[in-house]
Amino acid sequence: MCFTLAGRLQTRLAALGAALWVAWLFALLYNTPAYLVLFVVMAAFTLLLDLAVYSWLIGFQPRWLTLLLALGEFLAIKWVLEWPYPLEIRLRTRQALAFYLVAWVAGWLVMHVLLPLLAPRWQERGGVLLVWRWGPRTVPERIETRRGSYLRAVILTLIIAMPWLIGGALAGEERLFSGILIFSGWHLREYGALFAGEHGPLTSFAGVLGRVAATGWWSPFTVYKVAHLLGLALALLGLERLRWNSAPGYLPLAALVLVGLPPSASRSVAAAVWIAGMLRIRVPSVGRRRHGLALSVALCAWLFLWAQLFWFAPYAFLSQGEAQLSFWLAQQQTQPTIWSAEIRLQQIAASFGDARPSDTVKGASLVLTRGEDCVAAADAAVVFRHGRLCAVSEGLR
Amino acid sequence: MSTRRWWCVLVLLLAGCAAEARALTPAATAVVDGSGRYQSVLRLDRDGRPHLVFAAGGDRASLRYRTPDGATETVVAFDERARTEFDFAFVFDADERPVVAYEQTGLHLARRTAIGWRHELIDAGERRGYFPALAIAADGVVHVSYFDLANNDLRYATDAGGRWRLEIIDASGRPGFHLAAGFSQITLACQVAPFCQAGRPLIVYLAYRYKPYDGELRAASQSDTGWRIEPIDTARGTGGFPSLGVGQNGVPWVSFYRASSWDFAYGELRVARRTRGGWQKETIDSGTYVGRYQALAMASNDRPLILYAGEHEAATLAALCEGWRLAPLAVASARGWGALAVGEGDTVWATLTSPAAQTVLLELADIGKEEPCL
Repeated sequence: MCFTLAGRLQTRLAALGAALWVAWLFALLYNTPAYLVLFVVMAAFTLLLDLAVYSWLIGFQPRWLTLLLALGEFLAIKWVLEWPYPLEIRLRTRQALAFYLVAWVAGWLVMHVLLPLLAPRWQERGGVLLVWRWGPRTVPERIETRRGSYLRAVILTLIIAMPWLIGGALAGEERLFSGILIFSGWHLREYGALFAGEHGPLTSFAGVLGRVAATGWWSPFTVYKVAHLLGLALALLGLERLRWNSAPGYLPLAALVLVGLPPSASRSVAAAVWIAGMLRIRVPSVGRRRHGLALSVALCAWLFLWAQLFWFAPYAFLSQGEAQLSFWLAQQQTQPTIWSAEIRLQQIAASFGDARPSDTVKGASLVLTRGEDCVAAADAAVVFRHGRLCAVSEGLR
Repeated sequence: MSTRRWWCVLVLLLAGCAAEARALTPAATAVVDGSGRYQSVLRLDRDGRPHLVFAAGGDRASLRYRTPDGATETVVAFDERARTEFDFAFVFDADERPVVAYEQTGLHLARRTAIGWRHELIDAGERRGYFPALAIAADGVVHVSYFDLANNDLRYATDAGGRWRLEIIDASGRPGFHLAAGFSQITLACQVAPFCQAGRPLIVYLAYRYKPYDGELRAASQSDTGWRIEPIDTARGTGGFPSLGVGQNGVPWVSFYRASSWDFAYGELRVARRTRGGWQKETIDSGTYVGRYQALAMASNDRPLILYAGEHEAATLAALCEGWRLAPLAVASARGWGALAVGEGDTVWATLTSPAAQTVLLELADIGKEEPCL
């Protein structure tokens, strides 16, 4: 059948209703509340897929595709299930599969037996059970248009993100790629909030990301980069949606402006673009000449990113010692005050290690040294050493 | 059934019989005065005789040293009566004297001298000294790798220069809850340019963010500027209880366990070796708890041997010939830690845990000569 977005969501909610009963049943039968947690994960994940993937790509949905999607959803849920403590769900994969199979069959029965009985025109209305309307009546975009937009957004995301992907591949085993190619100061401040972990400020997006990373025990670097990429992809999808209203070709190129921004800024821009798309705001088209100019500017910006990656960006790569020092600083119970004669080292330790920089040696609890100074430092005073990089305790010197 | 089909069945049966490996019978066995619930470390002296350090639990919790003639002496006695975890490593120094690194509220080193065991404190940090591994260079310099369980960090200590110098190699773990998981392993014999250099430490360890099987198996090699850290195996549930050996050609081999998430009891015995192109991995065996306890040692011709608990806890020996050959040992089941050492002439010594939870020392004489490929 052909689902509309509203129809897809409503049908999914009806099927999830059946799955909820199954989850209760399993939880009572086996005295394991983890089945209810699994249900919540399953509901959140499948609704997200409906909103961000299926509604863009799938027009007519044959039954074989429904089965294939169910398999894909199970694999995704299995991946989530294997997340570590404290997000871990204490179910073995085979237990999760047993529940998923029963829940899926219950949902399938709801879709193919119950819904046609309760709402005979359910299929004709694209899966819609309850008709409600807000805003102006809109004609759904043709599936070809949606697929084209999705494909363009994905390809553009990959092209624009290429300096970051290559940077990650170039890092090798002796360096770590931070992803900071432009707006270094802005990114370093964001990283500071991110590395605060459980104590990250809730008022900043990076602080929330830091708390998410701390809860899942993920690397803050990875969380930051994934948020960055998602922000970019969402903004591009939003711009494609905006193009449905007025079709100016230069719009996706505007995403290049976003790529250097930290996730907090790109997230705000993405949200603004999406709202503009939903409100059906028309963006003025420009002539071929201005379009060419926009393309040239975008290309220059992209090449500038490559130049930054290979030559100019001072914080793009961290040495193994700098990364380990940052990790170690972030592990400390109390926030250390640090000083270093090397500004770069002090900046890295402050941002990635959740430490407070000091203007003077006397005001610092730790002095960071590198090279011969580290080798010569008294062992009793060295609280961190990794190769030729040291943190020396001022109290022990 | 036609005659041709009968021939086919006969050929298949014969092929099956030929593929079934003959069980290996130990030349000698001895029960050791220790609990098999805990790890034991086996080393051979220059004459190929076995020396053993093992843990004795219960009321007289201690680490004990067993000489080749069967005499035992206490290395260190622990105060805690309810001690259930023993973390230690054992090697010989250049003068063939036993040296033991162990955890007792910090990392300690014990050297056997003419007047008894001499102890020194290496790292006094709280919850440090777990899963130690020990290597001693020809010039007598000691290298120790160990874990800081408070922060889930890998640390390293060396007495080069006459005093202990401590380093943090990998601080990417997160502080918090943990389960005792695996061991770090260290060697000075690795020589695979540009990854590692003979005389410098190569450490293989299970790095976990928060708890075991929530991380990856990694290798850290010392360079001029610091440490090069690279993943060996990043598969989910990988890296349990790594065991490291280095051949005469300098190539390091690691055997380790990978737990399945499908069923927590199901696992795989995996092995990896470092070549110039990177880490080459393969799975040798799989099944219920297969490979959870395993030990690797290098035989002559740079051929690795692995002793492990196979399906139904059957003690099994795996040898690399033209592919891996597996042979069961004709001993009672192996329910816990094992150790393996190969001496001159490929004489194999092993320890296993008996069904009665005792440590059993086995001599598998001249496996290399008699059964070059098991």
